[in-house]
Amino acid sequence: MSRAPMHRRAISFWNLVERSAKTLSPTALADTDPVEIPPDIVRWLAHAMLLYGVPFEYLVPHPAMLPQESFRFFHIDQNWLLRLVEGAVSAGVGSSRDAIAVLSQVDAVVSAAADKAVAVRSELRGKAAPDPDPIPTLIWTGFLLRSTVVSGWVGMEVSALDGSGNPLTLLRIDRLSPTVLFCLIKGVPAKIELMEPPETLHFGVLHDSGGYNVALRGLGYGGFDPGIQIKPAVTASVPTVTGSYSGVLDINGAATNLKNALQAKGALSPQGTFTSCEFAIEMVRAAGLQSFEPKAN
Amino acid sequence: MIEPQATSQDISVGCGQVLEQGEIEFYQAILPPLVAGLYRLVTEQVVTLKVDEKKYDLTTPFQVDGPRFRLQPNDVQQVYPPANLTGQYEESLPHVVFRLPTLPWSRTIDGSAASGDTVTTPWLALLTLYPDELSTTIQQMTLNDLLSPADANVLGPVIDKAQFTPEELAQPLLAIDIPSAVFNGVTPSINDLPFLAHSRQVNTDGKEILGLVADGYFSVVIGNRLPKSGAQNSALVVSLEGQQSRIRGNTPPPAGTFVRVAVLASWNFTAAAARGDFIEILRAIPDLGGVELLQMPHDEFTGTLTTAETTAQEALDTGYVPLLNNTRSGEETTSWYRSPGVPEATSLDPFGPYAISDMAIRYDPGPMDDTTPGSGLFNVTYACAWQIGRLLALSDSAFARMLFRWRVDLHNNHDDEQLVDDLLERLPSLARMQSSGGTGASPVRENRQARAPVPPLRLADAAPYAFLDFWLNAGRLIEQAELPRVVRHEHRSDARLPGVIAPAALRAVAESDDPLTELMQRIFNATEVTS
Repeated sequence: MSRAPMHRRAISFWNLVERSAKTLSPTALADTDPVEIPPDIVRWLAHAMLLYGVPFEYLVPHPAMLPQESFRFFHIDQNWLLRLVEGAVSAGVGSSRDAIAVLSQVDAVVSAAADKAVAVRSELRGKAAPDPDPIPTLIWTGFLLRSTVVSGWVGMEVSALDGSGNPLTLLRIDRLSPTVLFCLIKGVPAKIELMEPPETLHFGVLHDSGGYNVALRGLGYGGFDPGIQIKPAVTASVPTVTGSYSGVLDINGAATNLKNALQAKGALSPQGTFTSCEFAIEMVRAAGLQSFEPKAN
Repeated sequence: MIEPQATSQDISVGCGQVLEQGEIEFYQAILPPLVAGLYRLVTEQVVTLKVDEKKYDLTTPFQVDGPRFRLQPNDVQQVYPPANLTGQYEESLPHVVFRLPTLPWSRTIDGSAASGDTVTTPWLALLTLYPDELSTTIQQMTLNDLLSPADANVLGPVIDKAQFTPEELAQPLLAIDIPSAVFNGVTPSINDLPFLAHSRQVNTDGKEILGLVADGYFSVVIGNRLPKSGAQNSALVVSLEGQQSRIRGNTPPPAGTFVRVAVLASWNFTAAAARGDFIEILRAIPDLGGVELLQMPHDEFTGTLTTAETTAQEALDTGYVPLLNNTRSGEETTSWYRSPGVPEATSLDPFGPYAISDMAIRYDPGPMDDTTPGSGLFNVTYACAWQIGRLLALSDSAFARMLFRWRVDLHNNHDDEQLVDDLLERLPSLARMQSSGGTGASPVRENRQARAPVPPLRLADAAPYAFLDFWLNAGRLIEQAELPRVVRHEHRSDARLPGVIAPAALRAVAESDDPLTELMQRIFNATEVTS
């Protein structure tokens, strides 16, 4: 990592004169050409501000704060992040001159890193960065989810919505352990939605205490748009074949149930057609979605 | 606090004339113009003459071929669940996507001729078999072995053997012997089969839908059995042609017999041990661990609280946790610590930034009496944050090196600024001259007079500044000129340009006895400046 020696700035006579003309006391002049904060340092600090590398014990100081099968919402303490950055840039400070030089830059460093932090996730995913925030703030929130869904549904999708339903930028989504999901959000969400990975779109059934069933989708008749789930949800049961071989579905029986349920809802074509194509639309098992609303404090 | 929603995602179904991007159009079936089989084209011509009638006819036999006992590898577009993978498939029905849009209807299950436009019963089925149900594996054999098994207990499909040539009978294929009871138990019934095959048209522009990568028409066969969780399942695409009397809904063949079926495609997948349902697990969270803020759980404070209890409650509610703290002096104490995730929004600490972590430690004086709140504990939260930041920086040598170089840059920059400031302080101040109306107030600053004797400036008060206007404007012109933006430092010539002073020269000027004269000399490269 060799580098050319630091360029010592030469000054033009004009610059001298101009400065002399502008101020009564030259020492009161602000630094007219501040040293640019190296982008690599900004990137590193942005990662640090997203709490990458911070030991888990410092995020959750006591195990009782995050029991099994729990959801914990939090605000991010901006002071904590500021101290973290101050500590990071103070590494190897050898003199009071070093300390002053560093602390004089802390404000600029923090705002640059906070700006950068918004783009870290898209950068890691190789996507375009979100539009820069006109007024960057450190109003960040997040949540911890400790549940078997974290290990069972790798690729679970998280979305955070504000009060009017607009999505908020996700700063970081990470599994800290097989069952702990850690998520940082820019802004304060009104609702957090967790969705099954949609790439598992396939045929299947939903299981509940009463057996197997499917939620009906519209077919384009009776005012129900094709492929769109009928709301409020109407389900039809899918019977299994009784016998010594488990898991075998009574497809014809299921088709009859679906047809009757759709007919009762008026969602079937006037001819009452129900064939393999209607059956396929109804049997697509799409991703489940569960929302959480953080408690206002 | 928690809003249970069992909404499923909707699917995009096309029903218009144009299939939009990402939409799927479902069809009950795409029928072939002719189902596979042997046909005769009979041509008849009657020539009527004056005396008699003559009849000419011609019979041309032809065969409509189609996959029957085997498939080409690329006929299968996709299988689900993915082959040889482990996953949560216990509530999924396996399916297979074929590139041939008419495949499930390209022949009939009983070999009969298809009548008109009626949708025939598909001849293919997707069987899901659990590990203990298979006693044999898939074997390679000839068509003859399939149709007339050597073992009397093995029942082959009922297909007329006479229609095959000896060459065809010798062709290899894959088949499996399934115990008759299993076959009769897990196959779809004759009424189930029509629902288990459909065709679809897909427009996948820029979007992955059901894992299909190509546009166009496909046929899909769905399995009728849910996989067994915690076990390896076998998915078999089998031909039911000639087996219609043995599938579910019929009297099973005698016990101890096997049904031999042609396997057109097969794969294995493992359904991971039951893990419950996504929605069910999430809905159970409020009752188990709860949906809360990140706080240390504690027993309810009851009754009239003492001031110490009030302090403790407030601290716990705002996210603090009392933790054991080994102080630097060796003393063991309890201190407050708080995670970066706090139960409520915080305001900015007005005392930062801190040069050392100890400056960030807060001490909450203990309660002297029952009216003063306080815990008598240190709050080491921000000191911890500071130290974590420093340790993270130190643990990354690349970052530490960058940091060090940046700091050197800062110092150099500061030194340069200082040098200019020193010089400006010793030069006549244009601003002060202008503010005092240029009437000739001493340009030398008072505080400098206390320093080493500086010879009084010999230049007339106003005269030297006449040329400054020129330089002022020239400087602006240079500033506005389009110059190459990136020049390697060692190649930069700005320090040698007229009117530009390198830092080393600047120092000499600043420290000379008569800085203004010295400056003029260097700028104009003159040996002497005379007034």
